Amino acid sequence: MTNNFSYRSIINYLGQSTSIAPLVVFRIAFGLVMLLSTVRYMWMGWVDTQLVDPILHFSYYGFEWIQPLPRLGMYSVFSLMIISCLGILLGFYYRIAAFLFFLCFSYVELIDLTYYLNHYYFVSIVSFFMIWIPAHRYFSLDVKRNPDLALLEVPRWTIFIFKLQIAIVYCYAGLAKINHDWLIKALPLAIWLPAKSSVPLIGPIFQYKTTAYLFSWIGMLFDTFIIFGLMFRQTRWLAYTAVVIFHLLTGILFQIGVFPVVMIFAVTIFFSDSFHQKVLSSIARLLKIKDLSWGNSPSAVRPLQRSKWLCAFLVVFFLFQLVFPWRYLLYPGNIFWTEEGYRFAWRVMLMEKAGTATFYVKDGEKGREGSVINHQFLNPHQEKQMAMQPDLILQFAHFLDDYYRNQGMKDPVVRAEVWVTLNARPARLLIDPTIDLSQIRDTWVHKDWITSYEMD
Amino acid sequence: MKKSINILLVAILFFAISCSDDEDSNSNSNFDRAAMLQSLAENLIIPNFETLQTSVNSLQTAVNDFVTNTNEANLLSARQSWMNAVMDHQHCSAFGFGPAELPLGSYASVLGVFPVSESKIEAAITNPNFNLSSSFDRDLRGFYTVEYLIYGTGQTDAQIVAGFDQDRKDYLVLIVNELKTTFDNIVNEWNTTYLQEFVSRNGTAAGSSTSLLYNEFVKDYENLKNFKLELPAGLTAGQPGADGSLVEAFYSGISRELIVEHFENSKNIYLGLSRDGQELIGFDEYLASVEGGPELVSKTLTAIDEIDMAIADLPQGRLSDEIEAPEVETLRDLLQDNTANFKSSMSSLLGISITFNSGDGD
Repeated sequence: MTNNFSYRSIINYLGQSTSIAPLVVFRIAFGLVMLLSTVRYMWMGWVDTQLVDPILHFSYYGFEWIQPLPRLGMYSVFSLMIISCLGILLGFYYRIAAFLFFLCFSYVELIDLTYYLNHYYFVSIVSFFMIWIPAHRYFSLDVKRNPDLALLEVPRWTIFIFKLQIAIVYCYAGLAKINHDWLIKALPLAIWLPAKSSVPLIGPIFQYKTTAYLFSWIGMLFDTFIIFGLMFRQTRWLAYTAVVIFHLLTGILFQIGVFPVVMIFAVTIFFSDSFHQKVLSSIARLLKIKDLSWGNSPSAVRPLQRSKWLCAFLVVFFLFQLVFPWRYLLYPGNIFWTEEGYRFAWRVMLMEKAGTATFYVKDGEKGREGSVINHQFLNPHQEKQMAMQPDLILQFAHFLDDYYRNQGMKDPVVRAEVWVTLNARPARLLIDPTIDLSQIRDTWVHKDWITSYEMD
Repeated sequence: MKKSINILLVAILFFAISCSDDEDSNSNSNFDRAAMLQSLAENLIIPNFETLQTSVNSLQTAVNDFVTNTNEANLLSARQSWMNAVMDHQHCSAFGFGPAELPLGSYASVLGVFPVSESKIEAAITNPNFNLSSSFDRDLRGFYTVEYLIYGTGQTDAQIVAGFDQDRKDYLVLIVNELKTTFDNIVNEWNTTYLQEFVSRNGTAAGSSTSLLYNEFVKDYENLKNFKLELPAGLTAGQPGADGSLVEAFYSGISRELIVEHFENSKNIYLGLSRDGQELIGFDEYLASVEGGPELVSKTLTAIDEIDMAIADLPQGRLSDEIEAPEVETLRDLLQDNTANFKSSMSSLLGISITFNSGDGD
């Protein structure tokens, strides 16, 4: 690498060849974890309870056109997802599989905003990358079908994009933890940890507030700096051990599904070429496969066509990744309270927030006002998420407006009394309880009907 | 370089610990959830179900006497037994988990449904092929179907007795037998296997006993507000007006008494009291042990006092006749105001999971 960090030198560096092995291991691990995660989702019955059964779904801004299919359709999408996971895992019609997986996964993710998880966003990004990289050109059924495809080396950027994305996830998650509540008051961990005191072996230590402080600080330092440990050979194994312990611990303590497993596997991409070559050899031995590349000796170096468009796209993409999470700075008020600019910014497990939202609908003609029984329209998860997030409250208000119009009500007036508790503070009104929400449109502009919130 | 990083780390750790000293690091919350579960199960939940079982058994005896000797005296004694049973039901309806979770849902959502469907009941009575166990209808069975049959809709007692043909008697017995079997099973299961399982699952995750108990407590509390007051009073969105016939126990007219008992049980769970007033470990003690808990408890206690007074202020007599009284709306509003205390604030402070869905992790 040249000494100066000019754009050109970086591009040249990223265009150099490197072993394909890390990419292949990543492909196999990603396919496997996504396969398990998809099967788990179906096994838990979530296709029905989260996607098919709900009466209404909360849309992502700009994606209102995405709607769930009927039951059979949703199960077909999930079957397609399982097939595409297998395609990725085995490298069988890989590009098509990666494309299908990205499409199906993102479609399901975009159906209902109340299920938003940062790690779904991460999976969407990773599966999008997978479409563009030649992860199937070694140790794959595609190579077995067509030995001419085999490659030993790929340009550095194909691996670098994953590393950079993972670095952004950790660093931004760590930076978000640098706030008063997290560091000075050990909140929300001081709420969450005592609730876990019945966990075997380590449970008893969670009753002490000191434990919450240690975990808060270590968590912040871990997220912010772990990437530097992973980057260098000398510290890599130590850092990886920390990654495994950290994610296993959070996996045991919190109800966070497959996320810890996703990260434990994803981070292996930081390991050396020889490590990945050994992993592939072990897999091959296990499966009694003699020749990893199936066929003629692959062309050692056959640089892929360097595309100006792809390069420009990646630059723009990562600029977006770096800048978008900071958009919250443009909004007035407390981000934890308003949640304006909260999502898609790697803010994970940052606060304990819960609300009770009571909606009142008034007949604009007769003047009679009545309250809404939320659970007649929402499942418990939707109700819980809705009751603390202003944009979801607004969406539900609009749903109610439509619903009662269809019932024959003239000009419904919809208002909501929403009591929200944030990090164990006494509940306060989240929004102006007198405002007619049916008259308000959701935009990127600050929602001035959210109350202001000064943290003590 | 390495050394300076180490020093920085140590400094940060010291800072963290010294911070925690400022914030009183000795304040640990070593609340024993298993003890709370055991205390509530052994002194509130199980005794309440046993009381209900006894009163349902008496109801069965009284109903059997009535169908053998169908006269006004036996009708009155059947009504008395029904009243006792349905009062006891108020002290169990919040415990609809574990053994009390029936295939169709929590027992109260199956056997405590009101209003019942008079037309469905009449159709079932005259249908020789009617099979209760294969019916999914909730509004032709349970406590309030018994009520409909033995109280009637405005007929004199003599007319009711005269109207009890064999089909009607058979149906009444069928409905009461389902109640008896259900509560026999629930009590039996609690006393043989479930108590131990209940106490041992002492975490806070979804499906843990604390989570089950808490969720059913909140649901039951919201049912009081939504279905016993708001809906009959016409205070639900889109209703054209009040409808007194939607109250609980419309035929017997004891709606008000049942509301009193219902909230009594909500308080017992929260405050940790047995039905006869003996002090137990309740959610208030649990809350007092956590961050922000004492403030929430004192706020909740104030709200409870206000609700108690509003319940006392409810008009005497049949609630269905007084459903538009301002006192009804006042009580609804106070129950509503307290919902956030019971619902979001409490689960948030205690870290209780409400659903099985994954949360956002790092």
